[in-house]
Amino acid sequence: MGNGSGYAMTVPILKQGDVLVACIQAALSDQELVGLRDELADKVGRFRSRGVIIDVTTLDVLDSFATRTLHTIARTSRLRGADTVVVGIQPDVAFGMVQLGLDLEGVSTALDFEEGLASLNGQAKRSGSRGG
Amino acid sequence: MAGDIFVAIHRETDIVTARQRGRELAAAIGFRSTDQTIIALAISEIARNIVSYAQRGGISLSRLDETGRHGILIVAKDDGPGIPDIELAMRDGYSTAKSLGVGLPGAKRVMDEFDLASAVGKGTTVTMKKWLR
Amino acid sequence: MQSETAAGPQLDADSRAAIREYWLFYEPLAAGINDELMRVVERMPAFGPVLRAMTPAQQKQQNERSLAMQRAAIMEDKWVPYLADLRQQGLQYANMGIAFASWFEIISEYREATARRLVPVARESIQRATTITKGMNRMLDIAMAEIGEAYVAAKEDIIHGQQEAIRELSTPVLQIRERLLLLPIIGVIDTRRAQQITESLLGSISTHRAKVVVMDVTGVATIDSRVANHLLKTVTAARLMGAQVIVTGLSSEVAQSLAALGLELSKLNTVCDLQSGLEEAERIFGDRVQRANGAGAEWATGAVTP
Repeated sequence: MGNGSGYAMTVPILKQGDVLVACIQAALSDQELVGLRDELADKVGRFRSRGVIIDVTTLDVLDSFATRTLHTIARTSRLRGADTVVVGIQPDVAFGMVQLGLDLEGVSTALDFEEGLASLNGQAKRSGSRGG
Repeated sequence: MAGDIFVAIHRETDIVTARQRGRELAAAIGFRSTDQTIIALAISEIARNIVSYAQRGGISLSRLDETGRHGILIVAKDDGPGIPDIELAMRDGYSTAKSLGVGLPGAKRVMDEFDLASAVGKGTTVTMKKWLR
Repeated sequence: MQSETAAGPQLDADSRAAIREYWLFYEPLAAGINDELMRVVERMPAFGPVLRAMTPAQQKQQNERSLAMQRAAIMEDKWVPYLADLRQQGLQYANMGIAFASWFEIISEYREATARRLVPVARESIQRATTITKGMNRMLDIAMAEIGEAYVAAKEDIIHGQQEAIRELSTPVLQIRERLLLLPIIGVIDTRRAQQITESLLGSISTHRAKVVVMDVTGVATIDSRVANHLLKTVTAARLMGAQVIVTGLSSEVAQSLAALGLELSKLNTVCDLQSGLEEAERIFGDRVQRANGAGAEWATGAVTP
C-alpha cells in the first residue's frame, strides 16, 4: 500500500463550489489519513475553498490518531480561510471516543452532509475569529 | 484454543488489521456493537503504540471462558525500548514526540482489566480483558 | 471443525474403563430399560405431551439414534456429537419451559431401573457391579452437566431478552416536532439502564436526524455519580454527532449532589423544568432560522450557553 511519491489517493475529495467534501471509507489507515490531511491542505489553498466537509458516516472507529488528524485538518484549513465540519459520526463511534477520552473540541460537527453544509453557511456569516 | 488470533504488528496498516480482527472476534463472542467499537478502539491505540516506538510486535486476541462469564483477551507484546516510567506513561495526556498520548490511559479506562508490564530494553506487554455483561 | 475425539470430558483411565464396563452391561438391556422409562415419562405432566407428540416409530428411531451416539462416545471416544446432542436437549427444555427438576426425575427413574438389573450381576461379582455403578454414575454426571449448563445458559438468554424488551419499553423516545426529540426518563437508573438510555438517545438522533433532544429526568429520584458520569458522556457523544441535548427536570437535590461530586454540570445544558426546556429548544430552532440573517451560530459548534 505504501507509495513513496505523493500522498495516498484513497480518500476521494469532491469539490462543490467553494466547499471541499472528503468521503472517508470504513477502514482508514494512518497513511490514508495523512494523505487526506496533506491533500486537503493543498486543495484548500489552491481552490480558495471556504469550507471543508469531512464525512465519516461509514467510519467504524475514530481513534486518537484520527482525532488528532481531524484537529490538524481543521487548524490548517482555518489558517487558509476555510471552516471545517466533520459530519456523520455514528452513535457507537461517538460514545467510544468519549469513553476513551478523545474529543473534537473546537472542531465543528454535524449530523450529516446537509447539516454540515447548513453549518458552513451559518459560520460564513459570523464575524470574528473562532476558537480552535 | 479456538478463536486465537495473532496479528503481527510491523507497519501502520497492521493497526487496521488488528482492530478489524478484534471487532470480528468481539462480535463472535457476543459483544454488543457499542462494545465492539470500544474493543476496536483499545486495540487500535495499543497497536499504534507498538508501531510508533517499537521495532517488532504482535497482538494476540482470544476468547475468555470462565464459569458464568465470557470475554475477550487481548495481549500486545513488543520488542521495543520499554517504558522507563510506567506511571508517567499512564498519566492522562502524557505524550512523547511519537505520542503515547491518550492511548494507554484511554485503553485502560474502557477495558475491564488492564495490565502493563515493561522493562527498559526488554519491551512491553499489555494485557487487556473485557467481559460480556 | 473439531475432530470428534476432541473436547471430550476429562476422564481418568479408571473412569473410562468403568464407563465402558457399564456400557457393555447396559446396551443389551437398553430396550427394556427404555420401555420402562417411557411408561413413567408418559405420565409426567412436563414430558408426557412431548413424548405423545411422537409416533412409536419416531420414538424408536430417537432411542436408536441416542444409543448409537452414546456407543460412539463411550467405545470410540467420539464425544462431540453426543455432548452436542445433550446441549441441544438442555436448550430445548429451557425453551419449552420444562423445569429442571423434571429432567432430574427421569434420571432418578433411570438409576432405579438400572439398579434393579444389577442385582443378579452383584450376586456373581460385587466387583463388577461396583464398577458398572461407578461407570453409570459418571455417565449420568456428564449428561447432567451438559444438559444443565445448556439449560441454564438458555434460561439466561431468555431472561436477558426479556430484560432488554422491558428496558426498551421504558426508554421511549418521542418526536415532538421535526428534529426535536423528547426522552423522558422515569424511575431508577442503574448502569444497565443508563446504557440503554445512551443507545436510545444516540440511536434516535441518527434515525430521526434530531438537532435537539430534551432529556427530562423529572421522574428520576436519585442519580449516582457513575450514572451521572455516564449521562454526561452521552451528552458529549450526542454533541459529537451534531445534536444538542438539553437536560430538564433535575431536582435541586440531585443537582446539588452531582455538583458536590464535582461533576461539571455546566457541560450539561440544564434547565429547571420541561416547559422551559422545550422553550429553550424552540429558541435554538428559532436561532437557526435567524442564523441565515447573520445572528449567532454558536450552536452549530455544539456550545450553548446555559
